[in-house]
Amino acid sequence: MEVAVRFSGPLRVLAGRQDLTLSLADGGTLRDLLHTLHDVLPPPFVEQILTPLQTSAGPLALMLVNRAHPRGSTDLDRPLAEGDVVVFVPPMAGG
Amino acid sequence: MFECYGKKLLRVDLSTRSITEEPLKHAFIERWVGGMGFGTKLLSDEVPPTADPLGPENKLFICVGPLTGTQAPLFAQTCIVSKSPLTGGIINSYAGGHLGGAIKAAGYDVIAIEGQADDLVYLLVTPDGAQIIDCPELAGESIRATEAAVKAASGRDDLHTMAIGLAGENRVRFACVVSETRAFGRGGMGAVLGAKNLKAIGVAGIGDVAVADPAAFKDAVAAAYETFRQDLESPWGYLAMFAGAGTGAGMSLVNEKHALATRHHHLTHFEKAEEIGGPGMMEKFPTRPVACLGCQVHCSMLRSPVKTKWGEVWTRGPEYETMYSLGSLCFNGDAEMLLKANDQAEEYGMDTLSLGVSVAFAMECADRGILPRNALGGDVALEFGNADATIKLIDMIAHREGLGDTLAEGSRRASQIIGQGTDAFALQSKGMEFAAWMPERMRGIAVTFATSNRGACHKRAPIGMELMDVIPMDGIEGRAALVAEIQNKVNALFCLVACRFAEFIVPMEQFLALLNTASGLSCTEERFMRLGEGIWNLERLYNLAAGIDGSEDRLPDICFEVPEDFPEDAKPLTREDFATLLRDYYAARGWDEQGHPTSERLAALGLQT
Repeated sequence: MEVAVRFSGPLRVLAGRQDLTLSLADGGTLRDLLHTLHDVLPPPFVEQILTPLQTSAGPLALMLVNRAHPRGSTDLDRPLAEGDVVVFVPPMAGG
Repeated sequence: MFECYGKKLLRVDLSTRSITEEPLKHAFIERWVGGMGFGTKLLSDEVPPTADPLGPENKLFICVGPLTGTQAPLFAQTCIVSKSPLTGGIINSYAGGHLGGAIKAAGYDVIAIEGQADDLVYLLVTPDGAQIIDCPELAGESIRATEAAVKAASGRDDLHTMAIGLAGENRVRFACVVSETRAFGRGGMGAVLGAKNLKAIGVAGIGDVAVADPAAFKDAVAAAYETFRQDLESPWGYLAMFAGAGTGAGMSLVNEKHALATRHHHLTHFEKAEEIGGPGMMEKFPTRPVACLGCQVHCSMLRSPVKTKWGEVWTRGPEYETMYSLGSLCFNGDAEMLLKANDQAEEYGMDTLSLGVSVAFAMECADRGILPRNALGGDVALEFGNADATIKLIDMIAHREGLGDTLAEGSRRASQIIGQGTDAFALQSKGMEFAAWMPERMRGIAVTFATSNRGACHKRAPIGMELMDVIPMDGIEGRAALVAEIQNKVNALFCLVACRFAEFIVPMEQFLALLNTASGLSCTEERFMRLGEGIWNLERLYNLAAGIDGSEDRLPDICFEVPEDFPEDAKPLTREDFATLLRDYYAARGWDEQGHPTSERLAALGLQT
């Protein structure tokens, strides 16, 4: 299946790109997606964002799946579906 | 006791040109604590609710807080309380920077401005005394030029200033006051100063600010700094993001959640948001962050001069709210235009929120055929996404020319002048234009916009909780009570004149430790929250006496329409839901069904009717 990934705001700058499409095996999870991204994104993004998320040290607030924040680390193991959109976004609003 | 206070009010009567000092009574300080508390009580006591906001009867109370000028972090702001020419009700407006520290160092907690000067003047407060100085030569000058002239004339490097531009002199109802690039944005404080013929205020002080218990205060400051350090050193820290790209960094999440007001609320998502958001701005234009007094967040972005098609632009920001109002709301995705528009607003002195919403309102009128496309004259078409139209209309509003004269009255009055049912889509509550959030998507915003004493204010809403999915954006249950609680809390914190950012991460016990060790007060959380609730009710009573009753706790009809790109899995705001929210809100406040505070609740808060 294909999952769209977007990077927004400061995380777009850190990722060095605005979007990409990943192919995951059917039943692939958010955790699988993070693992796959390791090979695609620059080291600062991996170090500051992906690794903390995979070790549950980083807030899931950095991600949206279909416009909703994952609710707890168990959501990392929830299977994604064809057409899902994952967005990396700063956990902040307003000013 | 009260060591951190100046314990004095400086009263300036522009009609008689008299300047006097008044001691602040201990009971007054203890009851109202500072900042917004001082200003609200003084305005309630001294300015009749029916007074003309642009007449000599109105007053401005420029207030600082107990922690202003101390080592406590994020208390640099200054608060103005007055009667708003935009809403007709009580208003409190804030700006960061360095002015508050100067006022405190000059020995004052409040500067009260009253009366009306015959000709244009400015106020100078230095260790040599306070004086009113004629300045006819500054008529029509920009804010930047005015501040520079006042500083130069004073001969003091330590002078800090606030000033109005042409818009304030022309009594544009949403004219702001700018203090060295930081703006007292909301509510038309610039028009009030303009009506008083007061072009600027300059303050220099050399006094120290003492604290009641230096050792304990030092510990409290260290604890607060540690809170900030932990956030700022985290790559995903809340304030670290603001420090990195300014408030505009917050545009991404709002846009991704389909909650970014775009094209006058017809859309919830702006395809060009990334181009005008904070990081996008930083990529295009040289930037350096600047800080308010004693702040380690430094969220304010200062740009190097930029050459645009409208000439060279030097500007600070734009802030997130401006990226919305003059950006997505007007369907403008041109970052250069945004810099130019922001620069115009800072030089003329206009609240970019009300300004952008008013410009978008005119574009909406043109889209609906109510205003002609050539309403601006020449060949500049009044239409969404036309950068030239925005730039030209801003000039026309500041100069009160043509359509600009109508829009200078604010969206509510403009809709009344234009008629044809335009009030149904004028984005305002109580006359105050919407901030950058959509009631259609966020129920907390719906309640806050409708019930805020300031009008469509975003300062006291569960924005972060809703956008971060801590609570569902379209949830009803408990939402109104939560808003009331936040309104009380922020009101209390505005007595300290705390930066809103501090409340995002600093726990209540740290605020109270700072306050109590600096002042000698023994303020508990319960008392602090009651202070905020008491001020909220005092404001409400003032507004009711000014003729602003429960019928104005409302949203325009457009908020009950469904935007074109509204997410299919989201729930639109219905009138039934809104009625429930309002009923819940009144109940949470202990008010009657018409939105009047009950005598029982007022008595519990120590307020008498």
